[in-house]
Amino acid sequence: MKKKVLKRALKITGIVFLLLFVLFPLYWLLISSLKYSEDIYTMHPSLFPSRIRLSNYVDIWKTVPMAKYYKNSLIVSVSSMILATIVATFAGYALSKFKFPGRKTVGVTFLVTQMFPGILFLLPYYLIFIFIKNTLGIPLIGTYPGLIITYTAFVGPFAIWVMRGYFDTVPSELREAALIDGCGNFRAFTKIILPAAKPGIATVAILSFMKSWNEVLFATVLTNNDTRTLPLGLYEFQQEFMTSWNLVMAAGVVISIPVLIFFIFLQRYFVSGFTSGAVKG
Amino acid sequence: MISLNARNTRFAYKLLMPAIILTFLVHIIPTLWGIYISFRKLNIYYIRNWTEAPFIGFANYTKALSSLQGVFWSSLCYTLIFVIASVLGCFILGILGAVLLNENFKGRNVIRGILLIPYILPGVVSLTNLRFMLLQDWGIINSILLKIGLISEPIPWLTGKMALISIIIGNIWIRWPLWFITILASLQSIPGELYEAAKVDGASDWQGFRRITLPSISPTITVLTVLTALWSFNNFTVPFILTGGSPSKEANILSLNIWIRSFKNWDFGMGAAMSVVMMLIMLVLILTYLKLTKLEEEQ
Repeated sequence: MKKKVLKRALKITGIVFLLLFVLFPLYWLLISSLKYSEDIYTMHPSLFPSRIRLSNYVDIWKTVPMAKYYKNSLIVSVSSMILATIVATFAGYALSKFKFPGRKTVGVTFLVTQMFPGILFLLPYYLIFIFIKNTLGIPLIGTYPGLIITYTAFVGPFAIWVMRGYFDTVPSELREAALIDGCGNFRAFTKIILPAAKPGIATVAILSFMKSWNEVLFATVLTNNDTRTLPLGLYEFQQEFMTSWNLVMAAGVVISIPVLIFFIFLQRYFVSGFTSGAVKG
Repeated sequence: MISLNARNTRFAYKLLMPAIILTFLVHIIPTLWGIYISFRKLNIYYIRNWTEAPFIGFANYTKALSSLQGVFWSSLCYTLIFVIASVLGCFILGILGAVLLNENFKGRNVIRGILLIPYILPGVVSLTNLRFMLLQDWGIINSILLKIGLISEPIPWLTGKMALISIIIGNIWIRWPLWFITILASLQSIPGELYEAAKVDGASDWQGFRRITLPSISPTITVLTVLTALWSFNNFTVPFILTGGSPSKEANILSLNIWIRSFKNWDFGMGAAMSVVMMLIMLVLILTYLKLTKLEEEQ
């Protein structure tokens, strides 16, 4: 009996520890975003401030071009989400349900490319983009298309991999039945398979949105003042205005809202779809 | 089950075409281009007209790898410490969380949702917040440690050796939920009867964990280990944000090191040579991974 109580106590301690580990930084983010500057710059910042300042959330739109960053991030993330989801759904279906020469090579190539360091591609990109501008006159650095293509391609392999894992769980009989009923390959795909793969598609869409929404490395080089995305905007904000951490934290909260909303609505899909894709490798 | 005929093959290739074109444009051609650059003396004078940069053979490689410069080797060492410590941390927290939440109790789903938040939150936000918490003078962490008397002087978390520890903590904080949720999923696929049978045979909880739990989750752990190792090895965002783009020697891990060399010092040739060496190390890791997952499929 005593042992049972001890075990229970240990379990509760463990859960409390993990919750604190996750929640304390989140609490600090939120509470600091509501503080006055003077309450931030002290040796012992208060855990429960006696006064709060909601207008931090108004000020961030004035001190930095947050609205512009927001627009840029939305354009880039939504476009690459749509493109990557289409590309991945097509490719994942082909790799999962068809047998054709070169299938293995293609699958392994996708897997391998997704694992190479981003920095490896960034240098050549930068130079290729300059080259294209010099020879063809098409500017790519600092434009949306340059960033959208890049993000689509970088989410692509991972998305294909998750999608393929998902299509593996969709019974092949569905497609065969549709073919027997006289559907072509294309119709069987759009009318029968796609609806059955909705959770997988939702997962991949969120994942690709989140990846572009959070990306920093390529944004440091491929964006300029006009096309700066949110993560880099936040970084520069923090570098420039070392005196206003409360505003930086408020901006951080605002940046997190879209992904949190996504997550709350699609958590069910997300957990099942993602774990099936990730565990199976 | 999978049909093999010309029409299906054509259809499959059509479906794959966008992905293949994209991979060529954005992965394969740039990789080759990067290898090509690494043999050129491409510095600030040649950025605009980089096609004219002189060919210098392996000079970039010897410069990067020579013990005199030593930049690459020390950076690689710190990167490896970063990778190993991150995997260990994720492993411990992931198993702890998964085992604790593998029981039914009230509020379980809520707690599971909360523990996933670090994975969902934009990395830049988590890391900027962590940087704020770790500030030497105004940071809450130093404040708490001072108050409870664990330290007598504020710790400079973001500089020197401590910066390496900070980037490890940051990396673990954003990655461990993936471990937790995938291990939890594979724990839930273990039939409960196994444990009951073990109990009947007089096995202790610890024996049950060692003989039943660990073997059933080990394939998941293998995949997670390799993925986390790869993603940490490549990582740029964590040290970049936590150190504000000017890391100490200990926090200057490979991706950030190459970025600074290329886009701050404008020594593209050397940066490219370092990335090619990095790619070769990655290839070894990836091949190990493919071999391991193949082994599993065969089992």
